[in-house]
Amino acid sequence: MRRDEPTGHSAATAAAALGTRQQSWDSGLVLACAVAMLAPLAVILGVTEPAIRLAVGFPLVALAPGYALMATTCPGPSVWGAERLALSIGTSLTVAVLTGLLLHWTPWGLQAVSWSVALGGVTLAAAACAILQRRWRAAPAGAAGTTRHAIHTATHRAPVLRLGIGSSFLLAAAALIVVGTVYLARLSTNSRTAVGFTQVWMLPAGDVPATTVRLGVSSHEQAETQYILRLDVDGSPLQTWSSIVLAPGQTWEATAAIPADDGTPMVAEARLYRADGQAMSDEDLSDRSGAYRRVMMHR
Amino acid sequence: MSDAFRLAAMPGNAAERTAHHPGVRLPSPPLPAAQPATLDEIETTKLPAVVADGWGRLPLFAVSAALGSLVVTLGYHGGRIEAWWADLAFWGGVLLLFLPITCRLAIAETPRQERIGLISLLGLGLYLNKILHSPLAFTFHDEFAHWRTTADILRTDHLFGANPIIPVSALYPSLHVVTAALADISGSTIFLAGVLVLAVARLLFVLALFLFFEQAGRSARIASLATLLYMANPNFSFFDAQFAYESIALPFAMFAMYAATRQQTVPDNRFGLTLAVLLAVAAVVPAHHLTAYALVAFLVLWMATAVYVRLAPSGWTGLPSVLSSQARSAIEHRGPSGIVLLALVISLAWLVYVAGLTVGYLTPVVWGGISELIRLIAGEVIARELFRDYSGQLAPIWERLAGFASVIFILLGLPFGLIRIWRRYRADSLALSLAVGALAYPASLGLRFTHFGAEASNRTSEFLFVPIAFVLAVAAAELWLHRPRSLMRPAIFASWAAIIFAGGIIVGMPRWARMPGPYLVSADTRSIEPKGIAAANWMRTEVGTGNRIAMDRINGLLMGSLGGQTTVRYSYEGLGLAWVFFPPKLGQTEIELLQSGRIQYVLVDHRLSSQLPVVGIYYEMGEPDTYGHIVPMDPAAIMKFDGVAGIQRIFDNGDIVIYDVGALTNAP
Repeated sequence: MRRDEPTGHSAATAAAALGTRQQSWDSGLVLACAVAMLAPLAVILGVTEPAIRLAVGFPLVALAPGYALMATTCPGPSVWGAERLALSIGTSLTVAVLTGLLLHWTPWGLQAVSWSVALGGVTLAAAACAILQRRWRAAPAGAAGTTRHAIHTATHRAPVLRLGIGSSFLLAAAALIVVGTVYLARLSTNSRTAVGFTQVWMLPAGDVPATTVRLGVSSHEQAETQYILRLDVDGSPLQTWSSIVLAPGQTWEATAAIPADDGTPMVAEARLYRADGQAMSDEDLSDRSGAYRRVMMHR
Repeated sequence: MSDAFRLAAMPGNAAERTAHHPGVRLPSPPLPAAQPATLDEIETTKLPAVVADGWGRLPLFAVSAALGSLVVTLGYHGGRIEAWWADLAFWGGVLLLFLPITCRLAIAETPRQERIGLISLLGLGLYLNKILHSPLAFTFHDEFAHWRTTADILRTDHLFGANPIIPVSALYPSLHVVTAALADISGSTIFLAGVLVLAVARLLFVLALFLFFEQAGRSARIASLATLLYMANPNFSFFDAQFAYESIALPFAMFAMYAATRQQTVPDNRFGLTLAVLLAVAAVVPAHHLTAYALVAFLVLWMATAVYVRLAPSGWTGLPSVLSSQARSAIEHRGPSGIVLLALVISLAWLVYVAGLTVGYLTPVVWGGISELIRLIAGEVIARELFRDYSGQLAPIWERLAGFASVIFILLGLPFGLIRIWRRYRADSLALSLAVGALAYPASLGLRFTHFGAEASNRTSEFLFVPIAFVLAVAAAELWLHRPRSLMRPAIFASWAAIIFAGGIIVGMPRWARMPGPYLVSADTRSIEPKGIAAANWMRTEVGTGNRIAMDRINGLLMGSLGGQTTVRYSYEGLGLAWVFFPPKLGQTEIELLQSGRIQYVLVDHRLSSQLPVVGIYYEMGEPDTYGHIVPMDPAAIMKFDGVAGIQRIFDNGDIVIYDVGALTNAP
């Protein structure tokens, strides 16, 4: 096409001047329909592969319904490129919002199946309308038909912005840098847990009145750690667990019976000590101030 | 009216218009009425089927933007290890992203397609920078509240559950609905789904901004510069990139505004664009209260200016006399029409029937700020010290200078743009209403000096920058960058824009929040660390969810979200539980407060006695010495629950201790 083409053309003339071939199908609509059918299938069949679910779920929420709706309600040539992309995204997201509000009032609510069927249904219905509309427009009907045909053709005349080899290489390099950057950022954030810690807890085991307690130790230290846990009742040792060894992320749990409730006040205290390979005497274990963690129950 | 008339009559110079529409030769004076080519027809004829390297230099700038993000990440890492070069790397990376793109946009010859690519690249690059700050989970204050709302939707399959962190969050569920849809269908985590949804929303926002500004200024150059300058608003880089309802509401609102303006110029697509307006308005109202009200306010302003323009005496509009009466009428009759009523009715209906809590949520913030400002003017209170946090840390001198310079540069630029719009755009009610909107900016600055109104002032910037960016872009494009092939002027413009941009980041996000680093007391994202997260997860798995718990601000975020607990806050239940934590001993008053709140568990964090609270409060607004703490909390006050009969110390991880006070408060 010559770039100094006269500007005062009707849409029909302009489309003809472009020389673009009429497409009997729209690849975008085909993709939207494919997503609209595959997403409910993936959900119903229980596909668990996250990449597959995301590959069909993301466009179903963010692009497909809007693209199909705009294909049928916005067929004119004046909307193309970035504008059509914005309309497709904006309409998709807003359709998702309104679909969610509607699903809230249904008995089955907002579930994966209801979501995928509803959004897929909107997409397929809109795509069907768009296809029927285009067939109708493409049908020859005298002068009016010519105009319709021209509009239809022009709808599909958005130019393809091809990338040269150098540009493709640069974009690939940018994408690689971004992927590497995200990886580094995650690595850096993970390293923030350099200061380890340990959690200890004591809860009633569930019986009322409580005669058994649940004790737990969870290690978030940076290395394997050895602990000693001592349970005292009214200041006297009731039970001691002397070799609890936990790797980072590991949890230890036990239950202990405490004296039955006879109406007198009672204090049960569990103290956790870090052994770190050293033997601890009974005197050490009686030292409350030396405890690494402690929990306490009153009755 | 043909768009060619507007193209010729309204903005810019012939060179720019030609750059905007290569292949179209427009004369400097308006086209005669005999040439009826529309903008769309022009575009149709000028475009070849295939454009080799049609993205111009976009790939090159994509590499520089990616490198910028890499350097920003190094800066974040430097912050975590407290390296001296952390800030240098952060700002170096940000400028590596911002400056080259700004220079390219400032050049007149840059084609429209490349401009769209560049501003999309910048918008997404800035969003990526926010994600790189916390790439594993949401860590910003509001993100926990919205995570909770989304988790509740996924758990119950229904909307409008109770949210103890920010109750109104559940009443504006657009973001949560879309995120839940993606999480449900894809089986991904809320974090991944939220990040992807907001990435798409960010792209929509940038495109909608560009297309809206293009309608207002009738120039791709003005549109791209205005979009760029909008990104300099203090909340664009971080606050409006977080997982919060406003982050999706703004794109919806801008999408509505773009579609509302565009539908008046495209007869062949009017139905679709009207549908887009209806959908966008219907989605923005349940997305975010302030954004919906700002949209209504702007539409009302636009309608008012449209009426004013129509009623203005003949010749007032300043349109070239060569224009036909039809063309003149089309320009003068541009207005939002029925959309104003629609937006108003839906907003009011939602407020009355669904989100009545909003009034009680917003009123204290607005009135608190205004009343404090009045007392400030009357000399009854002392102004908040700018750039100093409540733990006493003052921002570096260069940051303070950049922050002030940013505001001054905006204030200096506004008059030029306003005069230009008055002279050349006053026939267009849209451009005129944007100019009027920009006048609100100076008034909003006063609240920055108040403790209660500072946040309100900051939160207006994402709305006010729409008109501000347009006015500044008109000034820059038509008064400074109008000479083609000048390199010096684009460079000076880029420096000016960079200072506004950097100052915006500094004003919107203080250094302690902007940069990752060691734990700080009551410092939102800087207080989110493994101990608090582990305690919240422990509570959920070992104790169960839905327990009423009293605790400090930060652990409240974690317990209310990851922990699934019912965190009891004064703001929402009027209990003043913060007062339980400050006395050194647990007296009858404190026990009665716990009983009135039916509190089952109390969480204390021993780290609160180590520092002053960076945000001015340890627990919540209304606590003793709100915004006025001069010494850290008394350690005895934190440890007072130990050894009290009837209180069980059930959990200890060194800093965080959880007590079961159910026996004392008779809570179930």
